Amino acid sequence: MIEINNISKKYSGSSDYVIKDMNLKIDSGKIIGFIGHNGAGKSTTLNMISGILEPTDGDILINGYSIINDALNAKMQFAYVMDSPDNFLKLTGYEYLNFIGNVYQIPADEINNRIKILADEYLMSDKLNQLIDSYSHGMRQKINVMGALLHEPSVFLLDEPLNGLDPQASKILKDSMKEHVKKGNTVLFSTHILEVAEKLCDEIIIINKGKIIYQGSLDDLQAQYEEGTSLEDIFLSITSKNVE
Amino acid sequence: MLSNFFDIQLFKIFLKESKPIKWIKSSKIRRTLLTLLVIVLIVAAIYSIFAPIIVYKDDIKNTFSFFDLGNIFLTLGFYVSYILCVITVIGYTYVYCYLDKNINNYMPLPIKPRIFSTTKLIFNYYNAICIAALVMLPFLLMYFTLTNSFSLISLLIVILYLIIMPATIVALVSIIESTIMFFVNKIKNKALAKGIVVSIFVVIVAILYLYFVFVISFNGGDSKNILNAIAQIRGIFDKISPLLFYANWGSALLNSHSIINMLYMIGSMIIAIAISIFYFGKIYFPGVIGFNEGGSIFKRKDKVKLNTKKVSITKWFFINEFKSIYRTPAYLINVLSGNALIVIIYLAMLGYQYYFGPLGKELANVNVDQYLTIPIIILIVIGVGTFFTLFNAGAASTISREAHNIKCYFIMPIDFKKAFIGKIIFYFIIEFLTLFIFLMIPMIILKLALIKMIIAIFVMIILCLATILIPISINLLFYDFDWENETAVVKRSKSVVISLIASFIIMAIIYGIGALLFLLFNLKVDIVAYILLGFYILLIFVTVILYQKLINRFMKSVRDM
Repeated sequence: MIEINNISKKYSGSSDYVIKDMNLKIDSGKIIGFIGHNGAGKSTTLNMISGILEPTDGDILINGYSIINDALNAKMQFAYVMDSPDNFLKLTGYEYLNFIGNVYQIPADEINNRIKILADEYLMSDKLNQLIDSYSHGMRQKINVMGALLHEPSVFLLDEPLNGLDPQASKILKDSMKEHVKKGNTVLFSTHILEVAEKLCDEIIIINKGKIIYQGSLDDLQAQYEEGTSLEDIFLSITSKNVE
Repeated sequence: MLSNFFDIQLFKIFLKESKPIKWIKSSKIRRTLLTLLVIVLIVAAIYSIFAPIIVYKDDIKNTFSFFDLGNIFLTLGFYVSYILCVITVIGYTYVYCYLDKNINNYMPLPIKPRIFSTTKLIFNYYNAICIAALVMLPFLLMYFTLTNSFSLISLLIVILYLIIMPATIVALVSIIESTIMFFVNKIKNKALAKGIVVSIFVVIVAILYLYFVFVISFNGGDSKNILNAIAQIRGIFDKISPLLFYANWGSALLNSHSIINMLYMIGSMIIAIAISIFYFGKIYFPGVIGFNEGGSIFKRKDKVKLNTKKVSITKWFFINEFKSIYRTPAYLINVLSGNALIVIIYLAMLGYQYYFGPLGKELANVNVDQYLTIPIIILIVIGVGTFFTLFNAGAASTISREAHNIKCYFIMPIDFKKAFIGKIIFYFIIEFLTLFIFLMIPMIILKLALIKMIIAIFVMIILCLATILIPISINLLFYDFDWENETAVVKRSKSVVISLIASFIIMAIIYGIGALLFLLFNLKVDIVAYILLGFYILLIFVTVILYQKLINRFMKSVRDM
């Protein structure tokens, strides 16, 4: 469960708030799509939840642990797949996963079992001994997702996870997200692709100019509009209202 | 005509990409002033390092004029600049012409291969001149300061040498390297081919160095008459070393003002340049394409070897630092190869002197231990250690090189400070090992008392502890995660350049204080040694406090990025 309590964020050297007085509660067992224009504050919010950025005000609790005051325990609860997968390029896939397993204190034998299962699932078994530097964008994204799922986090955060993935990898990732939620975990991901949100999410959160303007199920949102109105039209309508 | 071979805009872009201080975002005038300030600081530091010579300069001047040794500094400068120029051009050609990731951005552009390759050659030539001039500078400064034999013709010869010598080296190296890289494209096992290229580079550099050192060592025995020794060295170079022909011609030109030597130099330069422009232009692009297709040097087996050991975060950072360096040629060349080469050359020189030279025979009859008192041992360790430990390009770029990984560490449940200790230990070990090999082997050969060796090790540890946090702290303060290629971050990023300047300044302070206390205030060696040791112990406390403050600041500022 994620609780965002009255957080605000402004970057140093700037007087404008990127996020202002945001409150949010995300329950377990759901896939939640985080939707917004470019620069709306999606990545900033995800970066604050994951501890990359520190809120100027307010607090964020993950399964009851504060990311500000109890960071290490909070970080044990979640995994975050960033928008850029170009990380740890000088390690082999296996070395990277082994490192992640160590960091999250998974017993050594168990790390190997989980790596094997994930490698089979993501069709990466024959690539793990190669440097990540030699991977394609899609393979780098896959190894990041594998690293994130390795410690079976109860909260799974992803920033634009489907960018650059081929249809097969995209399908595998979407299936993983569904599987993860079935086990009672939470998946929160940001996306520009409204069709993906429409098909995959149990709930959506729409953010505009640093403020949450809608949180709830897609059905409830569509019920407020004429029948047959697409999510795209609803999104454009709701965000333009907010601008006005 | 020229536009068929060379593109000035392209050259400017190459320059901008490699500009050492392009991170200074200020006006051109301020940038020029800052560059001048840096040069003045470095020159001042060089003079401070030679402080004892400056103090005794009148005596040295008299000795020089008595023996008529005026040109020796310049001759030595010719040889040293030649050797270093060859080594750096081999490295630069490999790095800038093949390893540089930006080359792939140019490949799809409609630029004629010959224009691109010639512009690359000229860019390499520019770099080579800078290196040769930088190496010659201290020799020139010493020459002007210490000798009475300055003449305008000598200066003109030096300038001519600095123009001609790098051009020929760039031409020859580019022909050899492009041929090797061209065949990389032909060999089926590209990973092996690339491995061979790296090995050839290392072997050529090592052979050149060792050769130079062996010849110097061979002649070192007759050091009573320096002039005679230099003449012998030059004679041997003339006879058995066609590789060093430029230095030979340069020194002959300096001594005899021979027009024929000058014509040799200019003529061979023109021929080498002409051949390289046509040859390099023809096979450079196919070589680049072959290199891109080559895959990793470190090709791995498909089967994963499972690891069942649990590794602490500190140990993991230590291991990862090592892996990232040996898996990245640009890091390997800039971070470890310098130390490794110095150690190899030194051991070779020492071994040669001990087994074949006069050192072994003389030592058998002399008890050196009685002359090397503990304060003198401390002074030797500080003197050598200060030179070796202060600048460390790897430590000065260790944070910047993490780039995107830093954000990943923030989302993981790890203690940053604990993790970074792994990096500190890694660079500490490198510095300590270099220093240890450098100083302990002669101490063992000299059969020093055990207590003196233990004290020497203790001083080495203090030195390494005091200096290792300086480049890392500078990198925490001036980190840069937006570097364009691996060579840029480890060679000319802000923190590396500032760290280099800082090391010059600290070196100058240490040597300067030593020289002042010893030579001007006539303090005893014992007191000077303990004062300098005290300075280093104080430096440990200062750097630890500084590091702790800077790592907190770093974490805060990265979060706000």
